[in-house]
Amino acid sequence: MKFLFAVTSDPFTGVDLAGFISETWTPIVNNKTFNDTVLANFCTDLSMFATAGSDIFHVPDLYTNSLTVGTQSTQGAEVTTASPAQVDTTLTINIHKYVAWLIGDLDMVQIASKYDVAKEYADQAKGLLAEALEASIAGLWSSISTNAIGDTATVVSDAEIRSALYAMENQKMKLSECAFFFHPYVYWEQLHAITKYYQQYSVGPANVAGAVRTGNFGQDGYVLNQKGWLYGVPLYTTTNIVSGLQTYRNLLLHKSAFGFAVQTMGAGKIRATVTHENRNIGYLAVVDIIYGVAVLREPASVLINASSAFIGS
Amino acid sequence: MHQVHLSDHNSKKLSTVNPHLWGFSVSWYNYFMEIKGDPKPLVASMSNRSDDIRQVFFFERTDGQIIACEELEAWNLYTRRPQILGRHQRVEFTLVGVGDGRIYRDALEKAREVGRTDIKQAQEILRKGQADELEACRGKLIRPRNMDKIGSEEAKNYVY
Repeated sequence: MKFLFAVTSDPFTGVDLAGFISETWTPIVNNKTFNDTVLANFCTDLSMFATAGSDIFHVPDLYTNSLTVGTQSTQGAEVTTASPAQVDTTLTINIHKYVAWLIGDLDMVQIASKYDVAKEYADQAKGLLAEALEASIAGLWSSISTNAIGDTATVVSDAEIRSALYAMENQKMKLSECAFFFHPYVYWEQLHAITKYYQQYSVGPANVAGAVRTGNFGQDGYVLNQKGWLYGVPLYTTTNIVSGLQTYRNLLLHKSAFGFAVQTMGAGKIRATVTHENRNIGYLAVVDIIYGVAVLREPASVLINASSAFIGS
Repeated sequence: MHQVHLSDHNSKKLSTVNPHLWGFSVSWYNYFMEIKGDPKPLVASMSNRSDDIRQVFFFERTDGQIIACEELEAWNLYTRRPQILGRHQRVEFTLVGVGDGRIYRDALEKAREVGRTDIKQAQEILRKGQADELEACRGKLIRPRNMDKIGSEEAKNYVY
């Protein structure tokens, strides 16, 4: 009997069956992930004025030097007129960024037809360039001097948040037109250590806006990457918030503080072109964006420094 | 006002006190309001993030303030790319020193040690670390690498 069963002791192995075992490339592609364009969605967009050419765009500043109130102490006396000097604030479009790649005809024709390689990489390139614009806007932190809070060793607490809001309101900016922009590290590791931002006894019922929208982000929050509100001011997160020496340069901005303009050729903000190049016998794809960024109203911004060396607890 | 930390609240109060057992209805919202009192004061601890302290570029602004930044931002400032306050209020950035970050990194390690018991002192150590890093490299000027070269080794090696 032993010999009869011995036949089954030598089953096929995967190696034996290698000729029949197939491999399948799934239609799922794990793409690169990007931040939402929270800064460009919020700041002043001058793109509409750039469609007919020009490189410099003027936004007259009447707030630095303003009219003054006189007192008519002697009735009938001649009035004293005011003539404050205007300040010419400008935005220059001078940044042209691109992503380009070339795929030869041989490779192109052999790539599985189920994959739209051009589209996948075009989407990725668009994400990269949108992030470049976001990073440029976030990089304007270095010009903020009027309202700067914290330093390289600051752990963001409620005091910093209230100081930032006070600074903004002290400039007579409407808080309803402002927004916070935090690095996710600061949002999760420091802001959420502040009990009054998440404890129901201080935030109030679940349908009242808090640092986290109704206990989770909700669909709207996911779309806009708006995490919630602090004292009624919307709060966004993005990793484009600049870091230097373990210090994140978070921002509280009025919408008039920073401006940008996109002047990419064609109708869109980002242009994608794919052409067949005979000289390379392949397809050349170029995705590009032309833009400029500027601080339009510096006192309408608050810099909130936060050290990544600390965790609030 | 009486203050109960969340952990205490969970372990003691919630397990032993159930207002529904008392025969009347109390919303949890009101219940928490009575128990919690003042918010817990902020307490910080040191992060164990093992960030690679990279080269640090110090720039001096027109108003005399010193800012520290990493190489990508330094390249943008160096090339005067940011549009600062328009043409007539332009703030100039002058590169005043480039450090390797070693002094700050040492300060960070020391702050981590001290921070276990004294966060305030740890913060002071970090502040001093940044000041010492600046003083040590003041006058040592190195041009930031060109971060605009797509596909270049410089751009490839930069970790955003």
